[in-house]
Amino acid sequence: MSAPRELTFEDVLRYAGAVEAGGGRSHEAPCSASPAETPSTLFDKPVDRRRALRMLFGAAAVGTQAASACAPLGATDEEAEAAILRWEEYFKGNFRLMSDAEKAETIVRLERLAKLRSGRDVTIKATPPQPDVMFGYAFNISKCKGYRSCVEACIDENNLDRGTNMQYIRIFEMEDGEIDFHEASAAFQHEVPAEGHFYVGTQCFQCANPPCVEVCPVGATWQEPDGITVIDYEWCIGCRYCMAACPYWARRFNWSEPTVPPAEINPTQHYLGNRAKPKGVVEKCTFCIQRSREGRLPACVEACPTGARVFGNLLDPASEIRWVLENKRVFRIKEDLGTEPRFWYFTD
Amino acid sequence: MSARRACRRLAGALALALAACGRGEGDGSVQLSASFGQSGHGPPELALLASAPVTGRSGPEGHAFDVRLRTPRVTSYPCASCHERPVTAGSRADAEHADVRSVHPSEVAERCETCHAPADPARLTLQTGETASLDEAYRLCAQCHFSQTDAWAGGAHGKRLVGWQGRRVVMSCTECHDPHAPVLSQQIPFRGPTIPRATLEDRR
Repeated sequence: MSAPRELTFEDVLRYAGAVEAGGGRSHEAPCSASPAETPSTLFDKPVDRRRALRMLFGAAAVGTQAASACAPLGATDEEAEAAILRWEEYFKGNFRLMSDAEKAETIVRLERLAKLRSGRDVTIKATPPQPDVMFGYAFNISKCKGYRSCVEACIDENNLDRGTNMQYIRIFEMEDGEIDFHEASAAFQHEVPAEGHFYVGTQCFQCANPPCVEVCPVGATWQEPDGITVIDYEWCIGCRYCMAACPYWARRFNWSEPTVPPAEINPTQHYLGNRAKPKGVVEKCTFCIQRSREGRLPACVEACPTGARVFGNLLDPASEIRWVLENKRVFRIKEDLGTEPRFWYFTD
Repeated sequence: MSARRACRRLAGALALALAACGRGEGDGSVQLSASFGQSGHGPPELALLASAPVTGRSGPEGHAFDVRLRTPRVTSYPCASCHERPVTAGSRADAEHADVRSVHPSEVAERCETCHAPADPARLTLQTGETASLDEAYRLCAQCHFSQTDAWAGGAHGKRLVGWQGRRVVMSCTECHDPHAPVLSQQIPFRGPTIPRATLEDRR
C-alpha cells in the first residue's frame, strides 16, 4: 500500500472514483460512492475524512488483490472477499448515526460475512422500536424451580459463545429465609428444586437509569426508546468500563472469538441483538430484541416450564406485567442505587 | 375386549400427556377455545371464568383472553374409545388406569367421580351439577384454587402463548399440572455457568 501522505486529497478522490467507475470490485459492496458519482462530482461535494480514507484504502486493497494488507498470500477468492468486507466494515459509523441506506449496506456486508464464515444464510434486521412500548419483566421467585430451561433457550436464541459457555442468565439457589446473593450459588448441579431452597434468576434488568451507558467512553451502548439497552458491537472498544459499572453483573466480555457450530446458529438476527459478535467486545441480554420487537416473547419467557417469567408492555394497562405490578408484592434488586431496573421480582 | 386392553396401554401415555408442560412447542399453531361458545357460556373470554361457580366473579377489566384447547394433546382421547359403558361408581384409578398417579385425589380423599362424570368419562363434574369438557378443566380447578385462578386470569400464573402482543392466549391448568399429581417434579437442571461470578463468589 502506498503511503497516504504522498498523495493530495484530490488524488485520493480521483483514484477512488476511477476505481469505482471502472468496476474493479468483484463483490456487491454498496458502501462506497454510487456509480453515478464520477470523480468530478465528487470534487464538488464535501467528502468527510472517514469516507475518503475508506475509499483510498478500499481501492488500494482491491488494486493489490487485497494481498498485503488484508489477506494472506494465496488467499482464495472468498477469503479476499471477506477481507475486503471486513475492511469496509471497519470504516462504518456508529449505528445511531447511520442513515437507513448505511444500515442496509452494513447488514448486507454482515450477512455476507456470516455466510462466508459459517456457510449459513442469516437474516439480520434493524427493526426499530415500536411506538408506545416500554418493555418490563417480572420474575416469580415462588415459581422458579431452577431447571435452567431459560438458560438453554437463551444460549440457542442469542448465538452465545459455546467455547466459553457464555450465559446471560444466572439462576441463584437461595436458602429459604432471605435473599442473599453473597451466600447463594449459581453453580448448583443437582436435582432441583432442592429441599429448603428457592431460586432467583438474574440477567440484564434494562435499567431506566443505566450506569453502564453513562460510563461508556465511546457511546457504544445506549438505551433505546422501548427501554432496551443495546450495544453497537463494532463501536465497542472493549474497555469493560460498563462491566465495572453494572451493579448486577449483567454484561459479558468476549475474551476469544465467539464460536457457534454452524448447525446451531439461529439465523433470525438483529443488528443490536443476537448476531455474531467479534472478539474483544461486551455483550448482554437485550430482552431478545430480535423477538420482542416483533411482538414475540423473549426466549427465556417462552421456555420457562413453570411460568415464573412475565413479560410485556409497561405502557399497556391491560398487559400481564401491569397486572403483576398492580396486584402482587414486587421488589427490585439494589433499589437504593437508583438504577430503576425494569425487572421486578414477585411472590405468589 | 381388545379396546379395553388398548386403553390400558394408552393410559401411561395419558398420564405423560397430562404432565407435559408445553416446552418445545415450536409449531406455532394454536387451537383456540372456539368451542366454548357452543356450551352456552358466551364468547371464549372471561365469560367462562365469570360463571365458574365458586369464584363467582370476573377477572380484572381488560383481561379478556383465550385458553388453548387441551384435548388435541391428550393422548388417549376421546375416552369413549375405551369406555363403552358408564364408569362404575366407586371404581379406583389404580384398577382402571394403572398409570395414573393418584396423588392429588388421595390427599383430598376423593374418588374418580368427584371430578369425572360417571355417565360420560369425557366430561368433568362441577359442584353445581354442570359438566365441563376437558378443555374447561380450569373451571374445575377454580372451585378450590381461588388465588391461583385469580393470578392465572391476571397473568401472574401460567403461561402465555404466541407473544406479548395481540390476542392473549394462555395454557389451561392441566397443560402443566398433571391433575392427578399436580406438583412439578424434581429434575437435573441444564448445565450451569463455567465462568465464575467474579464480584461475589470470589469473596468466599
